[in-house]
Amino acid sequence: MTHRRDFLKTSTLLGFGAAVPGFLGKTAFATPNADKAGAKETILVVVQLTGGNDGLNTVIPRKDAEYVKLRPTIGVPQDDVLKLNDDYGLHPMMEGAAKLYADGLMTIVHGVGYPNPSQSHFRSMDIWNVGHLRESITEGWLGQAMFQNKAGAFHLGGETAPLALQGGTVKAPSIASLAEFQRKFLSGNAADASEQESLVRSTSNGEAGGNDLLDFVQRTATTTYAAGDRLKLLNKNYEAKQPYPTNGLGGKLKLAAQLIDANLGARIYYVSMDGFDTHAGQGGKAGAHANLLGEFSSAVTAFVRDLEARGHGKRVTVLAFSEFGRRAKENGSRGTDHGSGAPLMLFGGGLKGGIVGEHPSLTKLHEGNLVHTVDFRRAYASILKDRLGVEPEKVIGKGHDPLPLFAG
Amino acid sequence: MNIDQHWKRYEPSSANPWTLAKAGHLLRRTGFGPTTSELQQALNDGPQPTLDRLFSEAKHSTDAAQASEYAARERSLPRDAGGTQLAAWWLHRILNGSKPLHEKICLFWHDHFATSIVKVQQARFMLGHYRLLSELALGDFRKLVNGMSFDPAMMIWLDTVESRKGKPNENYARELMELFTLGIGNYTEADIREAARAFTGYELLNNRIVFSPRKHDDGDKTVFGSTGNWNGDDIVRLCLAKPACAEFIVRKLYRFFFSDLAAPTDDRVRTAAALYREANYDATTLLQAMLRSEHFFSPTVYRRKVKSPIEFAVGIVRGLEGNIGALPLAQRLENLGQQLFAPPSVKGWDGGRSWLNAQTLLLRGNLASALTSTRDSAFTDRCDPVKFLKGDVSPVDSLTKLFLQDDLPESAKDKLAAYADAHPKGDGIRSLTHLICSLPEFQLA
Amino acid sequence: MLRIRLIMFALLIATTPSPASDPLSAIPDEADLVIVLEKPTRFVEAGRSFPAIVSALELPAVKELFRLPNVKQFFDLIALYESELQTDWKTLLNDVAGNGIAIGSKTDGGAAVIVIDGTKPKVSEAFLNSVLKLVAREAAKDADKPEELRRVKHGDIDSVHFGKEFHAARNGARLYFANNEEALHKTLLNTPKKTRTDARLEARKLLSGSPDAWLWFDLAAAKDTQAGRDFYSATKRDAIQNLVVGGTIDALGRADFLAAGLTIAPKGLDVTIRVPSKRSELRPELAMHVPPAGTPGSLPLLEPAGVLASMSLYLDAKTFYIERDKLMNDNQKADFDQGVKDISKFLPGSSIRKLFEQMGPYHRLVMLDRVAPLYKASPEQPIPGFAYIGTMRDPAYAKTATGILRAAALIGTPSSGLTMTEQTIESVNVVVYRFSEAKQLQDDLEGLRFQFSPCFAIVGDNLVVGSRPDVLAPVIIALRTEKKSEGDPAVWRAKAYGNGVAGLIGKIPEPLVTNLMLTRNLSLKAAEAETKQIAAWFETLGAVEFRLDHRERDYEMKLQWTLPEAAK
Repeated sequence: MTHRRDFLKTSTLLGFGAAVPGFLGKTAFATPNADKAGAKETILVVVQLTGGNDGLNTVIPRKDAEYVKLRPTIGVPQDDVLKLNDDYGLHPMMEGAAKLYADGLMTIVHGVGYPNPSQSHFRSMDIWNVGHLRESITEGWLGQAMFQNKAGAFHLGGETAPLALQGGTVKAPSIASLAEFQRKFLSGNAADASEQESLVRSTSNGEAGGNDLLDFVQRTATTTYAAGDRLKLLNKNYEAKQPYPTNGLGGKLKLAAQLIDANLGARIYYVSMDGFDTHAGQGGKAGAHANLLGEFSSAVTAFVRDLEARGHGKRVTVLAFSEFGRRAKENGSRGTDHGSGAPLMLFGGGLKGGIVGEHPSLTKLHEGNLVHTVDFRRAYASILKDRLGVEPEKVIGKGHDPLPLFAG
Repeated sequence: MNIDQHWKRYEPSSANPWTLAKAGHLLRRTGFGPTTSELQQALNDGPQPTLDRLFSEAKHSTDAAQASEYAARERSLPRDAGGTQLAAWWLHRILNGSKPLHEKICLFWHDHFATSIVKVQQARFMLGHYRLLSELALGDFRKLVNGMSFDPAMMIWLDTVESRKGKPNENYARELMELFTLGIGNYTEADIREAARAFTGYELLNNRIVFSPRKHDDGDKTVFGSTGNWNGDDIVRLCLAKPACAEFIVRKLYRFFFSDLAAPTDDRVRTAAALYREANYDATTLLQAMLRSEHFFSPTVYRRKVKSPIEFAVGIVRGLEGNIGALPLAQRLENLGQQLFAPPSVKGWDGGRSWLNAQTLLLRGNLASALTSTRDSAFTDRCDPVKFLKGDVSPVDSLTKLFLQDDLPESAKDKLAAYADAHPKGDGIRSLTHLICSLPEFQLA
Repeated sequence: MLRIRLIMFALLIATTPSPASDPLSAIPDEADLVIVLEKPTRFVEAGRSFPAIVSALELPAVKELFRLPNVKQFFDLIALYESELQTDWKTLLNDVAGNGIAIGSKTDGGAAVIVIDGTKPKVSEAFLNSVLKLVAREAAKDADKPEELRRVKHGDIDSVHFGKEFHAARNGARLYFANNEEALHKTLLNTPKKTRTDARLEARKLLSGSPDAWLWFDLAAAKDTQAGRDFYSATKRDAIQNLVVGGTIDALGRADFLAAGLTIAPKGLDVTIRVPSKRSELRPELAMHVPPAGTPGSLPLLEPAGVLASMSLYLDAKTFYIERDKLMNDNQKADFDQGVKDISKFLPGSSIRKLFEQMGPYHRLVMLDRVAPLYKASPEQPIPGFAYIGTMRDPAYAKTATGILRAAALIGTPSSGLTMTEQTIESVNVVVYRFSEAKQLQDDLEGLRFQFSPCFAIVGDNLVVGSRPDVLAPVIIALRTEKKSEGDPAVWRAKAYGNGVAGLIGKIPEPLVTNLMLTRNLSLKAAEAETKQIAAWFETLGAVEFRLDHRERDYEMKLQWTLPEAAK
């Protein structure tokens, strides 16, 4: 908790009002460390797969007899696996992701976890959200990162805001739709509404009369309306370069893309997708889990391609994680129980691409669970350093060497 | 060094007259937003009598007090009550109570000793925490800090319940010095380590705090060069003995009541701190001196604070003499960044400019619209400007007087008047109110 | 020129034969869910005069609902129609929909179409025009995307389209509305197969009486999806699912369609769901759910003083134990067998197997408004006390069951500090356990256990297990004064009592009072008065009973709400 020392200094607040200093003709509150590497407006989009995604059926060993033995009914037939390399492939429903991999826009980290894995949804998700294993949890790893680099974040979706975002200087807003960015006016017709709107704008443009605080409010108001306009325009004309699927995750990522393109200045976006707790009737090549992976893959692919086409490809990284993996052996209800050691998936430009790390052994299990081969905090360290411009030590403590995830 | 020299009492004169604008300033800073009659009365009475009234031992009206106590019963607010209900409980007190200055100071201390239900997880402990603040808000700071050291909510929040002999937890000792009494630079790590030993031996057992003497470190500790078998009260005494303590509190009060922009001058800090110490850390004495001063009513302090979300919302509701439910309002305030009893961290709320960014400014506007439109499903028509104005022929004048004491640019007022002329009835008046509450000037306290 | 066109158009309208007044026959084949209101006017009237609704309208909280913008808009709309069409809403409803309403939808995709048959083509026409005007006006408010009305010809019928989601058409006195253009198109052009319509009417036939509204759902189509298949294969061998809902799932699995009917009468309300699955065709291993012929499905519901809810069901543990291999998957079987072995270690002279064999098949559960705190550490917001009452097949069950309960308590004693006492309640010997407040349990940090003081007793030939001692007295009395009866053929019944809830609110008004103060800023006095009013309203609600019955020709789920007047 070393960052508390800063609080008494004059707080330089940066919501996303700071995104347009030049436009306003005055230097608004600048991003500190703007000249440090990795602090350019790189953006992290976190996709939380809630419930415990079955990693073994996501990134599938291609020529492993053990895999077939462990999963007689829910195993994916070797011929259907989408090849990534000789040894591993993706679930057949993840065509979009496979293409991203082929284009060097996807990185997979094998076997990510932490010592003494918890099988409780809540405890394990908390651990991933705060970035440490201590019992006392109040601030998330992203919240602390935001505190360090003074960035803004958005939580997109109707669920409760994740613990990961807590701890910043301001609360990350939870947005369910673009409509929440629109000013509401009570009016009987469109003409009245626009009359009110222009009144609000013109009265926000006044003279501050030497009151710097009033000046600040006026400038924030101007930024608000500018951002609202950009978003309205985007909403009307937004034609995704690659159509987004009409599923839950697709809608959320589309919203994220619109907000990113509107240059609001936030650097962290958090979305989640539920349903991965497949204890029964999980299905193999087809079925409940396959549908989830299909939804995930098509949504993320549309997102990455869309951003690429708009020129944001290199600076946006998507991190997909789940609170744990699942058991190697299927259970009696044609599903899987809570496990560990699932892969981490990253998407976007700026990545090194390929597969990192060692796949957990399918024979040397621990109480039926895959043994993780790399600590998740090493992935966090890499993201903190290279994408959020924050010293990893300040957030997750010492002793976690960053993984080589990012290019240059 | 004379207290009068730097905190000269404000007596209205022709050079420095008592105006409606100053009355509004006083009522906003010492409360959550005035009504028309409160403004008028303050204007008639003058600053000092108004402050007399604010500081007097006025009790909450019986109805409001009874309702608040009922809502605080264990059956009404059980141990596992959610954060929103807890926040709504306090908000209900603020909306219906008649002790605005008291609640405002409780808010100050809540921010100062920032403790959050998110970790404490026990609504009744948080209620107890509030009662401690409330009892000593305008009283003895020493008693308040001592109470805090062993307040169950605080002990869970800063891990005193994990602290035992041989393995003391430094969290409370550190925050006690850094955030509650002295500020950085006025203690050493050794002081913290030694002080931590005094805060040992407490445990949470079956939702109760239990003290085990054998887990308490009774030995000699050396803090600030002073050695003895100090207990918690002694540590607090040692902290308060340092001159830095009073100055630290003065600066914080200044930030809360005076200005988000400028820090107080060194002279002002020293004189106020001396007064505070002489009065044995009595908050009333200090605050009276600060709030009755000419400086408080000066142009460098006027409109130099950003309204917190609660001041923004309650100001509208009280001004329009509305009757809003605390629960739906508490839910909206969460999104504006201020959930009572759940500060973002032990540092409290940053406040000031951090209350406003493009998102929260937009949300404020939409909240003002929801409150006044009569179309919102949670607020319905409980805060209807049309009902409030009762056929007033000059709504612009009345509303700008109520909300801004007429202190807004001529051009803005003209535009508002033009709109009111074009839309004189019903929804037009509601929209007018919304527009006034959307002015940048209205965001300032 | 225009006049001639108009005359020709009018002639066309006049000579187009009016469609037969049976809206169901117009629903396209693709619809897998159909809802029919044969007499909409009667339905609305019954709803409006339903006593519980009438009395609810007196409650301030409900009156408040009517101030909500959406609700106000709805009533403003009705007033608008009344004024535009120079009539009152009842007459309007009869003219526009007097011959019935049918709704058809496809669950996959959500396309839906509504067919409304009226008695006066002119009125239907005026009504539709009114609706179109309103839709156009609402759309004009959204200045960003002004939409235009589109007209398309479908043979002789004109259809109107607005945006993506509003589609309408009229043929004589029949109105069509749809949220999907293709669905409307299909409805207008295609004639549904008679076999399809007949299949839907089977649902109507399966329901007895004449329901005010009825529903047909295509189960065969639902089961045909991958999700459906996975569901069935997964649940076939899951012990918990089989125990709890096995009978229901099996019945649904054997049926091609599901029928549901709603009947509203002054004495109460009735929702019946039936599927044409015969009792005799129930999977044999699920025999634990169905009693042998000639024996009752469930014992009468117990209604001790202060009852909130009462449940009575048939579940034969012995049959479950015998068939358990077929009812569990391998993992569960392994766990079960291991669990039985483990527990048997602590129970010399008894065994779980004996327990299953000696246990009677009739079980009852009651929840009472006993809420006084049991311990100092008890939270003030309590869980109401409840009791389980089970029958015996073999008198030895009394000894087996109590032996196991005592042993279980002994096992738990070291960690939770259980203390045992024996008390006499209503001349029955009762064993009572209490938790120790001096111990902290890692698994129960919230102190949930302080809501319970478990107890048990043998009353006649019933085993009674209670969550707290003060539920035993009323239960014992109820058992003693129970009239001998034939029981009821339904295998699972549950009933909730309005005056029970009223009593509970009377005992613990605080949560409701506080909620009223915090949501509507009522004064304490007003909130307390309103809470009393709400409790009184619950008294007028009578009781709601829910039943499941494997009948000879069909499987039935029924919800029956009986208002107090009927009891008089």
